Amino acid sequence: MNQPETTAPRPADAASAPVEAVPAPDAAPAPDAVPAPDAAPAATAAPTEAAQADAAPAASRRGPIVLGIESSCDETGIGIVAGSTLLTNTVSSSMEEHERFGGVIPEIASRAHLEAMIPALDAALADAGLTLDDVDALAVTSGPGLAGALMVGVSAAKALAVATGKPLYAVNHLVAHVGVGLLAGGGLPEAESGGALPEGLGALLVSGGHTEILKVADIAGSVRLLGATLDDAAGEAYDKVARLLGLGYPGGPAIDRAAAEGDPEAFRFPRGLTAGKYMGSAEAPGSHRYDFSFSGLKTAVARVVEGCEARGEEVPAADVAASFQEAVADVITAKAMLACTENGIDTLLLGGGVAANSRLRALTAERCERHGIRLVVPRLSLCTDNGAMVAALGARLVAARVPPTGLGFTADPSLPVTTVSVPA
Amino acid sequence: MLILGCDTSSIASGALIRVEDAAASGRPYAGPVEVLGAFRTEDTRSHAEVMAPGVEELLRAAGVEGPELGMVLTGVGPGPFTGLRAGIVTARTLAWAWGTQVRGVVSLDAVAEAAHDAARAAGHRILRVVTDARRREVYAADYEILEEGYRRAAGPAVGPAAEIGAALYPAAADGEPAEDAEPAPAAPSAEPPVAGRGALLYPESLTALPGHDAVQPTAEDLVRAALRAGLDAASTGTSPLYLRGSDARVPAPRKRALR
Repeated sequence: MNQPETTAPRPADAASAPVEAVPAPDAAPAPDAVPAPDAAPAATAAPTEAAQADAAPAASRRGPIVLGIESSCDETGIGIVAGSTLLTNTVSSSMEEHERFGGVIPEIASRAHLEAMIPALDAALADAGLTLDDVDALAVTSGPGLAGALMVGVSAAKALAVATGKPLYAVNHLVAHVGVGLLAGGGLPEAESGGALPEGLGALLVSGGHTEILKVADIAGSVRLLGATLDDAAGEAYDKVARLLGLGYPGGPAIDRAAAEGDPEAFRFPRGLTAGKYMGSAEAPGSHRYDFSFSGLKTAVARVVEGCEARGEEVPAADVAASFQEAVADVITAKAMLACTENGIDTLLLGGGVAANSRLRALTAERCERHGIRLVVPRLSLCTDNGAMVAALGARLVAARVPPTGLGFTADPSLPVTTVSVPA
Repeated sequence: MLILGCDTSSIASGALIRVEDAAASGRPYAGPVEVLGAFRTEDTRSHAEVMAPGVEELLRAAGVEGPELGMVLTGVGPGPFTGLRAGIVTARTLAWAWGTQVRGVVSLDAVAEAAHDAARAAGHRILRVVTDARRREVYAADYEILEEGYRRAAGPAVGPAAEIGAALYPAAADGEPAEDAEPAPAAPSAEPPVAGRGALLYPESLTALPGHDAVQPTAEDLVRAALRAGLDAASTGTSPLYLRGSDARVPAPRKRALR
């Protein structure tokens, strides 16, 4: 079993936070990430500076303390926030156990969640310097995700709710990815002043399980799916192509590294669902104007690789990787820009594990700037699956006085994005 | 002493039980067992939905606060994985939040608890407990019927119903004596009578102990079984008895896109 790894907000993180890599007007370190001069004395044996500075007394004036549980894929995440202040982000990943399979095996992930849950809860409370009594509300990812994996987190969260009598929110994993931007230092500036979300907020979520464009009118209640992948998620395509090229798992970082040495124009790989009949026009959109498909791209890469092998040539892995990466980044950002400009989105949050990809980030930043769209990329530990995002959305629901879900729900592997939190 | 039992190895069930404090010594307990409340589902697929509300209602109806519990006991299977995990993580998390100890019991023991009296009355020396493992297989364990009570003699194991005897006694089937310090149990000379739904599902391979082919493992019987053996005998580890791997295969070489 993996030891839970804890990443709490540190001032050093803010300095290197992805948001600064984006030409945003006010990307200064978040004030809350710096220990306040009047912060409470350090809690004994708290493992990180930030946790000490953010310990309970300081937190009590920052809004509800919410504990969030995430188990939709291969990360067991426990996060605790106080309002928009992150107190701990504890993650235990089973990624290494999936390596030899080249992708996440649901049963292996579910087994790992079960064994990681209590150690992660312990580590999270210790890191935040809190006891369970200090927590005001609970939140858990109830979907979308892998059924067996979700079931572990949902069962644990319900048991916590029964044991403590605290209100429980069953929340949407995808909306939680957006909710993390509301944390101080998470990237959305309005959150830092405690104000409302920017109007015209959108989100581009790209990970091993998701490729979606969302429009967020109200994070606590009104979220619309503008586009999504019809087959593979982008991260899945990365994993499969990395395997084709013998680059290892996970594919994202492996291809990113290989692509650095390659020519992105060496091959012209297809951009899925960009034909006229799918795109239509802004006035008369086609059937899949904002949707994605990566299965054809994957096959096109396989053809190139096998063609080389058949001719006895060495596969130009760097060029293939760079060209593949260009195709993915190009089609995702092009469609995201269309979705933004045609739906009144002027602030775009980029989330999901593939947000770490250098080309996707660079091209998203370049195109957002060209279209006058403010781009927000939370730091990577908050982009990948984690419990802090679940807690952050939970805190938002508490603040918006949304009634808690209670115990009468179950995991929903295909929870629609329109369900921000499951109604009681 | 108050004990909360949970089992989700087949159906989902819970029980809140009061026993004399002597049980806390950890030794075999034969005193009175008072069931303050219990619930069970009919189906085997709603564990994540029913466990927490079920436990909440048990405590509320009995006017018991969680921290008053002396122990949480959970069935550790074997059983279908997803449901089994829902019960175990529920038990573990409740115990963690209440600061109470949690222990694990083999879920098949609960069926033996329910059926051993009938087996003894019918003159049997061995009782086989067989439950549904899905995928045309069963989980099984053999119990030696003692003058009072019973003792797990072999298993748990998993396999097709027709071959479950060989799965329970692998050394005997191979014809080689086990080299372990502890001698492998000898297979019974005749096929023992079966309690549990395995007998209902595979009547062509298994002979039911009459009236016991629909017995499900329940939390109440699980707690009774643990008390009978003594709470010290319950495992401090509560990881599931999976008995099967994850089914994951390292991918074969890729299919060719070109022909």
